[in-house]
Amino acid sequence: MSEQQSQQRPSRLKLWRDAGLIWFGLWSLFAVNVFLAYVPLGGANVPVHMSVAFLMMVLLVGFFMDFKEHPALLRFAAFAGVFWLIFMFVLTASDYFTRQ
Amino acid sequence: MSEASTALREPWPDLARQREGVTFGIWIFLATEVLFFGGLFLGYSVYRTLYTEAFREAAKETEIFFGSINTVVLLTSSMTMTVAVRAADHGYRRLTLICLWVTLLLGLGFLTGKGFEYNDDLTKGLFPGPGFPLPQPQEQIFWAFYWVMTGVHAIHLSVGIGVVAVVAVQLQRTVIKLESGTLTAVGLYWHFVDLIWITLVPLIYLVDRP
Amino acid sequence: MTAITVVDLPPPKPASYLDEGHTVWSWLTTTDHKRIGILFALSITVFFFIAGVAIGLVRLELLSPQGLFLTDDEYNRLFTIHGITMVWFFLVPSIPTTLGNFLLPLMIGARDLAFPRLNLMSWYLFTIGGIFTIYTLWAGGVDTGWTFYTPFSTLYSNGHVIAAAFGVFVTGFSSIATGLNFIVTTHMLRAPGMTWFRLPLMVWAIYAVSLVMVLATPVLAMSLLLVMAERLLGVPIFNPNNGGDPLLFQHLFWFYSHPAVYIMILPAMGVVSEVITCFARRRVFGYAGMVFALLAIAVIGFMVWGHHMFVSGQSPYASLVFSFLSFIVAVPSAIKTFNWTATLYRGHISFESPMLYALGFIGLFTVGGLTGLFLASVPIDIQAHDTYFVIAHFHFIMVGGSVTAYFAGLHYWWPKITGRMYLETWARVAAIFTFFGFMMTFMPQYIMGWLGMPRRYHHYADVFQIWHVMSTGGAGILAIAYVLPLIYLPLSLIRGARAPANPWQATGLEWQTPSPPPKENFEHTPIVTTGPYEYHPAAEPGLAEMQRPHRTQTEDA
Repeated sequence: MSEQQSQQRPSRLKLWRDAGLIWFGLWSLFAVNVFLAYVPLGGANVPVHMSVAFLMMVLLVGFFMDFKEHPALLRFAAFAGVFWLIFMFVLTASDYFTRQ
Repeated sequence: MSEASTALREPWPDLARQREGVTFGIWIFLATEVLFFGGLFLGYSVYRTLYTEAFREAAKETEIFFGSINTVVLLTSSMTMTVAVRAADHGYRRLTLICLWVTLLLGLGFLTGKGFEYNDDLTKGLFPGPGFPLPQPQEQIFWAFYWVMTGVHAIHLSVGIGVVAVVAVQLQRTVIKLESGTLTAVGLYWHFVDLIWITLVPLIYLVDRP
Repeated sequence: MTAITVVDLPPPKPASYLDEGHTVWSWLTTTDHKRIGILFALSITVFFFIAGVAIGLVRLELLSPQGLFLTDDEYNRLFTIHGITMVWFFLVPSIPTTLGNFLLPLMIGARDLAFPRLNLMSWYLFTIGGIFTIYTLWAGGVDTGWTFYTPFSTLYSNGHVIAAAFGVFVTGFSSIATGLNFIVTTHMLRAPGMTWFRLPLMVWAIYAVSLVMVLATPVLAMSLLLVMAERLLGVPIFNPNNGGDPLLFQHLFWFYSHPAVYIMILPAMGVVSEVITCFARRRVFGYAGMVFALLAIAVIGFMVWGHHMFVSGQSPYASLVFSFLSFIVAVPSAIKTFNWTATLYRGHISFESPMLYALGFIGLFTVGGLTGLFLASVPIDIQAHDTYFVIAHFHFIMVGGSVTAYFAGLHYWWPKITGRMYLETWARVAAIFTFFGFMMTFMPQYIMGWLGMPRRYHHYADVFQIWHVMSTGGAGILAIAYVLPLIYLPLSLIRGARAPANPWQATGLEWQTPSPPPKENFEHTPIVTTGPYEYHPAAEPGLAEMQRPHRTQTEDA
C-alpha cells in the first residue's frame, strides 16, 4: 500500500509549484486591490474591493482548502454558514433600509 | 499495522471514515466562525452605510504599509501550510515538519507586524475615548470596529499558532501520525484565519486612500 | 490505553458503564458519552434549583403590591439571575446535553459520539461558564435582565455585566461543541441499515437542534463580545452618543435568542414523539411530515427574530416581514401537534408517568403556541408587549413545553440510564402536580398581562394583586412538583427494583441493550432492518379497511 503510494506520489517540487502558483495569484490580486484603493471609485468602492477580495477567497478556498475535492456533505456544511449569514444580512437590512 | 491502530481513534470504524469525520467537523466549526465574524461584519456594514463619510475619513488614518506587509506574510503562511498538509498526505515527513515550523514563524511575523502597527496607532492616540484626535464622533465607531476586528482576528491567529506548535511537536514525537487527518483540520483552520484577514483588509485599509 | 498485566485470566468485564470506575476522577476524565450526559444532568440540576430559588423569592415578593422584603435593586438582580441561569444553564443544555448525549449514540447504534474528548471539553466549558455565573451571583448579581440590552448594559448598569456575559459566552462554545459533535455523529456513525428515514424522531430532533446551536450561537457570542468590549474598553459600538445604534445589538442578540427558543423546544418535541408512540402503542402518525416539520422549524426559526422588536423603533416594514414569517413558523409546529394527537387515535393508551408528562406537554405547548400567534401579530403585540402576557406565553413554551418534556424523558429513560425503576405512584403525583401547578402559576399571568400588568415591575397597581397571589400559589405547587423527583429518583438508585432491558416494551435500539448499557453500548454493532415505532404491523391495503374506525350511527350523531 505505502510502496504503491510512494511510486505514484508527486515530487516535493510539484507540491511547491502548485501551491506557489496559487500564492502568486493571491498576492497579485491583493496588489490590484491595494492599487484600486488609490483610484477614486466613489460609491463603487465597496463592490469593487469586495469583488477582488472574493476572487482571492475563491483561490484560497478552492485550491488551498481543497474545496472541490471534499465530499458534497462537507461542501454543504460550508455553504450553510454562508447561507445563514445571508439570512442575517438580508433581514437586518430589511430594517435599516426601510427606516424613516 | 501498529501505525494504523494508533492513528485510528474510538469510535471510528476505519481511518478513511475518521478523516472524513474530522474534516466534516472542522467545516462545521468554520461555518460557526463565519457567523461569529458575520455579526461583526454586519455591525460594520450597518454603520458604514449610515456614516459613509465619517468612515472614509477615519479609515485614512490606518497604516496601509503594515496592512499590506502583513497580508503578504499571511498569504505566504497559507502557502506553506498547504504544502505541509499535502506533504503529509503523500508521506513526506520532513517536508511536513519544516513547512509547519515556517508557517508558525510567519504567523509570529504577522503578530509582530500587528504589534508595531498597534504601537503606531496608539502613539497617534487612535483608541476611542475622551481626547480622540478625529473630529466626528462616528469616526470613533470605525476605530472601535478596527480594534475589535483586528483583535479578534489576532486572537484567532494566536490560537492557530498554538495549535500548529502543538501538532508539529506531536508529529515530531509521532504522538500523532501523518495520516490521522489532524493536520488537514489544522490546515483548514489556518486558511480560514487567512480568509478572514482577506475580508478585513478592504474594510479597514482600502476604504479610501488619499 | 490499558496497561499489560501478567495474569492468567483477564479481569472480569465491567457489567455496565457505571462500573467502569467508581472514583470521582474516573468521572471527571471520562470520554464516555453516557457518563458525560450524567455530568451534564447533575450540573443543570444545580442551576435549575439556583434559578428556581431566585424566582421563588421574586414570586413571594410579588404577593404584595408594595413588595415585602426586597429592595428594587435586589429584585432586578433576582429576576435577571433567574433568566440567565434558566435560559443558558438549564433550558438550552437541558435535553440535548443530557438525554441527547446519552441516547444519540444508543439510538443510532454507535459506540460513542464522533469526538468523545470534544464532548468532555463541552462539559468543562459549560462548567467554567457556570462558575462565572455563580461568581456573578456571589459578587452581587447583575441587573440587566437576561437580554443584556444596550446601552443600559454597556454604559449604565452597575451590576457585574462582564462576568455574567463572559459566563454565557463560554457556555455558548459548549453548545457549539455539542451541536457539532451531534451533527457529525448523526451523519457518519449510524449503524448498518439505519437509514435517515429509519431514525427515531428523537434523533431527528437532536439533529435539527444541533443545526440551530451551531449556526445561531456564534452570533450570540459576538454580540456579547461587543457588549464586553464596549463596557471593558470603552470603545463605542452601541453608544448613541457616538451615533451607535442600540437596535443593532437587539438584531444580533435575537438572531441567536429567538432560535434559542427552538433550541429549547425541538428536543422536547423529540422526547414527546418517543413517549407518545410507546405508551399509545402506535406508529407515529405522518413520520415524514414530522421530520420535515422539525427541519422547517429549525430553518424558519432563524427568520423571525424581529418580532421581539415590534415596538423598539424597528422599521414598520421590517416588522411586517417578521410578523408574516412568524405566522409561517407556526405551521410546522401545528403539524406536529396534530400528528401527536392523531398518533393517540385508536391507540392502547396507558398512563404511566412519562406519558402523563407528555400529554401535559401537548396541552401546554398548544396554549403557548397559540398565544404566540397573538404576539406575532403587530397590533396585538403593541398592546401585549412587555406585559405578563408575554411572560406567560414563553413560559408555556419553555416550562410547560421544554421542562415538562425533560421530565417526561427523564422518567422514560431513567431505567435505561440507571438500571433502576422509580416509584411510579410518586412519579404520577409529580406529573399531575406539574400540570396543575403550572396552569395555576401562568394562567393568571395571561389575564393580568392582558389587563396591562408590565413585566419586570417591582411595584404594581392593587387591582393585579389577586392574580399575583394566585400565581405565587401555583408556583408553590410547581415547586413541590419539581422537588418530588429530586427525592424519589435518587431513592430509586438505592431501593428501586432492577430494571429489565426494555421495561416499557418500546421499540428503538437503545432498548435492545442491557440497562444500564455496557461501556461500548452494544455487544455487537446492531443491524437495522425496520423503521422506528414498530408497535403494530404496517397498514396494508386490506388491513386498512379493517382498521378504519367502525363508528356506530349513534356515535356519528
